[in-house]
Amino acid sequence: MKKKYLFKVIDLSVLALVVVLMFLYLFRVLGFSDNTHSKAVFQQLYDLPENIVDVAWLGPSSVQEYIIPSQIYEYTGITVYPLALGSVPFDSTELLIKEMEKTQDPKVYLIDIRDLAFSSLSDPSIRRVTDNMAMSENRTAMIDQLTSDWQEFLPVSKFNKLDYYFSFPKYHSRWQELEKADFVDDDEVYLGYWIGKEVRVFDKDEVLARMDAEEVEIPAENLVFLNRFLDFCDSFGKRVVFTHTPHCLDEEKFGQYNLIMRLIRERGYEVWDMNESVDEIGLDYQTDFQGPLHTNVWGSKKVTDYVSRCLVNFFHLPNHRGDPEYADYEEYVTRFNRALDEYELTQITDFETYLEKLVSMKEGCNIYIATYGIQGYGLSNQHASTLKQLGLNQVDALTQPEYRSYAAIISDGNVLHEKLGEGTSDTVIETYVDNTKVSLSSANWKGFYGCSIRLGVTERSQKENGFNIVVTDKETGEIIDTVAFDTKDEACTCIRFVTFEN
Amino acid sequence: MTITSLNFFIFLILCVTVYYILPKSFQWVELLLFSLVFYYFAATPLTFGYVALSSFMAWGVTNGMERDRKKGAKASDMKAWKILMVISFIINICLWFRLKGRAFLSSTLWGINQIFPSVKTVELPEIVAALGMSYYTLQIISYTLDCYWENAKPQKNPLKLLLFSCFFPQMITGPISRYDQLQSLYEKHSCSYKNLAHGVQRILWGLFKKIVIAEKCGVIVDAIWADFTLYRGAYIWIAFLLYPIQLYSDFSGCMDIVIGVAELFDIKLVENFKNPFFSQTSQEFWQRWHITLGTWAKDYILYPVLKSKGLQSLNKKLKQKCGKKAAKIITTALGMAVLWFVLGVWHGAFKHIIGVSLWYWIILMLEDIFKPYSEKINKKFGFKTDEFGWKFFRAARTYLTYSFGIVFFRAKDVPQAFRFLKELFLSFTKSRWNPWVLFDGSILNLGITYKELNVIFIAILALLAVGVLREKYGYARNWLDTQPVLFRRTIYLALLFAVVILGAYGPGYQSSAFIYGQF
Repeated sequence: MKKKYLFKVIDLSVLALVVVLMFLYLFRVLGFSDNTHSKAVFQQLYDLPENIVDVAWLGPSSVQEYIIPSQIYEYTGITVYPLALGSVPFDSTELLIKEMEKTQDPKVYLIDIRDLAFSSLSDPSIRRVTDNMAMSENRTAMIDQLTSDWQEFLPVSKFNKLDYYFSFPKYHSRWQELEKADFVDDDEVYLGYWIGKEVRVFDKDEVLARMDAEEVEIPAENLVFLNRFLDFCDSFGKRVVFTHTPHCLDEEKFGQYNLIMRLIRERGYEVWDMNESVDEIGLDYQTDFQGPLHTNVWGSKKVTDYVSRCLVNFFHLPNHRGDPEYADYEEYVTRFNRALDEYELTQITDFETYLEKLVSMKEGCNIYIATYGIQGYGLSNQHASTLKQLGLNQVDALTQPEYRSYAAIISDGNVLHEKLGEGTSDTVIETYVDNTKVSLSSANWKGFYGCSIRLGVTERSQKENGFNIVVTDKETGEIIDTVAFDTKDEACTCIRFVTFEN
Repeated sequence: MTITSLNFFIFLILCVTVYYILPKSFQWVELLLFSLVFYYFAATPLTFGYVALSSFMAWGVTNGMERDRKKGAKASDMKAWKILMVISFIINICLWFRLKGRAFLSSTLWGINQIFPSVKTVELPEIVAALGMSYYTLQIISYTLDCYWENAKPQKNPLKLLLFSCFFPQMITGPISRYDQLQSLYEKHSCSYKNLAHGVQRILWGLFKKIVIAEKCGVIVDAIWADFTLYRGAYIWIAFLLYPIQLYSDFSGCMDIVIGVAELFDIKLVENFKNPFFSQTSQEFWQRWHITLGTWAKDYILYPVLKSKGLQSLNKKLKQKCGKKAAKIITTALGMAVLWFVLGVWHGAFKHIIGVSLWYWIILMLEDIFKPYSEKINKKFGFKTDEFGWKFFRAARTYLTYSFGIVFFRAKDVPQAFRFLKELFLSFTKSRWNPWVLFDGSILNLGITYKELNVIFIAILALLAVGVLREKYGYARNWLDTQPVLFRRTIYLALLFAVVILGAYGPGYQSSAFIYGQF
């Protein structure tokens, strides 16, 4: 009887454990999700070793999309962590500092003022914080604060606390929208930063002229939140500096920021107005913004470079490079640089530059090349020389204006296959690379199919004249780029007609 | 607090925990207290007075009768109690009419106004009715009559009788239990794994029916019913054929939850559904659909009416004039007319008298009249009535008959029902012919995605599979209990996660109340 009872208890415990584990997984997959990578911002902070962050930078996307912490670390050895989320309400700042203080002990806090000129509280802006924070008293306090702070400022109370404590009921119906990103770790975030790729053009003079705008009132709730936060800073005991990152907003907003900065300065705090330093930063308003609110990766690199110099000059923080305790930051330097390389590769349209980039990032990549037609009109000796740096030895023959087929596979910097067609014959390579079946075919002018690079069952090449190149990540197999340079023509025109979703 | 809400399940866990912790002799007291708490949160607390009034009247009348009976009172002395009993019924019915009959009165007046325009229609003020009033009123009447007919012994403790009337799981949509069927309320129960497991399984299955099938079907049906000048032709047929499934999943899903909740306390409630869409005839359908209401109506309306002196003497006269068969048909028709009229009134609107009552009265009478002829035809032509094809045809016919009747149930009023039926019959005309909407993606305009359509399709298949198992094994779980533990657990986990993931619930989602919760 006792045995039977024991067996039942064990049986039920196992069942309960399975159910709990399944639910935990479900909560993770079907939880809050958006394209601002807020989950990773918290997760990467929690994953860092304790007490390694020198500077914490809090704010909305005006921090998240401006500052590349791995680059600051690479340049200065200073560890910065931007605990910044899209449209994060300013009144969450104090509790976010407490969250940061749980595992880190930053010497300096930078607080961006961007959100103070905006008056809105949306469900996603709350959830980016509350749904991603670890379960704790602080999270409960954050839910309480964000749902109650705004009660007196909103016409109708639309936020129910209970919905934020248990967010699953709201998001369970997301099962229809699930995609790969919901099941795997977010690897597009580098210490809170993610690469912004869009480009929007602004008139620099016009934007900068708005800086002298008259002060404009800010939303009443933000004034309350600002004063409350400044009171907190008075008793906090750590150095707090406010920042105003560059933007292209309208005159009214500039007027509001002018007021905010004056109020903060009157309370004895520094404000770092980077809009005043855009020349020093080197921001190009033709290429460096992705919208009025955010810089793109090129702009972010410049802002980050400027910030790095300021951190060294103003705060005298130590250089941690080479210290094994900071291996995480070292890893993010490698990861971010790699991601940037991959992104830059997809933007290059000059053949020689492209080949040089390939040479610099050949490790960790699989490169597939198949040609079609005569290459010699466009393929110069210089090109051939750079191709040789990839380990390709038979490319000299292609510089002649003759019909020759050619295909090659380079994996992790090593040439696995290189085949030059005899006379006017076609070239075919069929093999396995990293357990994936690969078929390359290259044809001369007689070849009916032109050229082909088939990975698995899918055609990945542009199937164009000249050099067709497909670059994939060796580890994940994901396509980094697929391009053709028309070396049948002297101009070596770059062709990216087809892009592939991984 | 609805019985699909998180609050209800927290309340339930608390109630079950306290129930098994308490000494067994207090278990019924705990159920009564928790029923009061449920009433407080789920309804207007003051309306609980109506339940209490009904229960205490029944307690007084039945115990008074019993006391005099024990004293050996004569039949003439019992007359006073009989009058009091009738008065208590009248009070109950008047209370019900005052609180729930508003829609019935105004819609009936509207109906009369259509025939006699001199009769004016009125809009009556809305009064908050007691939760589950239609259900407990019938329970109290049946209890009183059972005691009067000496089929049951009166309950001495008025609070125990109150528990019989307001046991919280059955306050939303029944079932309408007879007093002798709920004796387990007062028994002492031990906590057992089997009861808890069976209860949870049943609740899960009920939730699956309600928040996965019924709610998703409801999106389609509601969209079409909202504007059938916009949605015509094939759309009308979709709504026509899907609504019975929605209604069944909704109502029987609620019953599964209610029965499952009661099982957690080791209390067995009577079943209210038994695969109604497997019925071969409409008569059989009503023995499988809302069983407790049908049984109640038969026991307390049809049989007393058929046994009444007036109808007995009419039967005699008709036998002499028209023969035995015709007399039986006519008297049964009259009895059934009374039964269906009362059921129509109980459902609370004129449209129910037309749609449910009149329609089914005609159908059932026709079935009765033509039954011998159809049997003869089957025999003559050698139709194999045991074959699947034949059974399927008859089940489909019963389904269509039901679908037709409940157009009135779904409609806002009688004119809307007729407009719908008109569209249904005209859907094959040139101007409305549009079967391509089933294939070209137009159906997605109804507020549902392809993925959800797939879910509906698979869920209905699951419903069908469970129905087949139920036909064969009594309960699907009887079959499942014979399967290996891993398979069993997988099925239950799949059910749990289907409910959790696919169910329609959560903030921003307004779950419609149970369709039968309105009665």
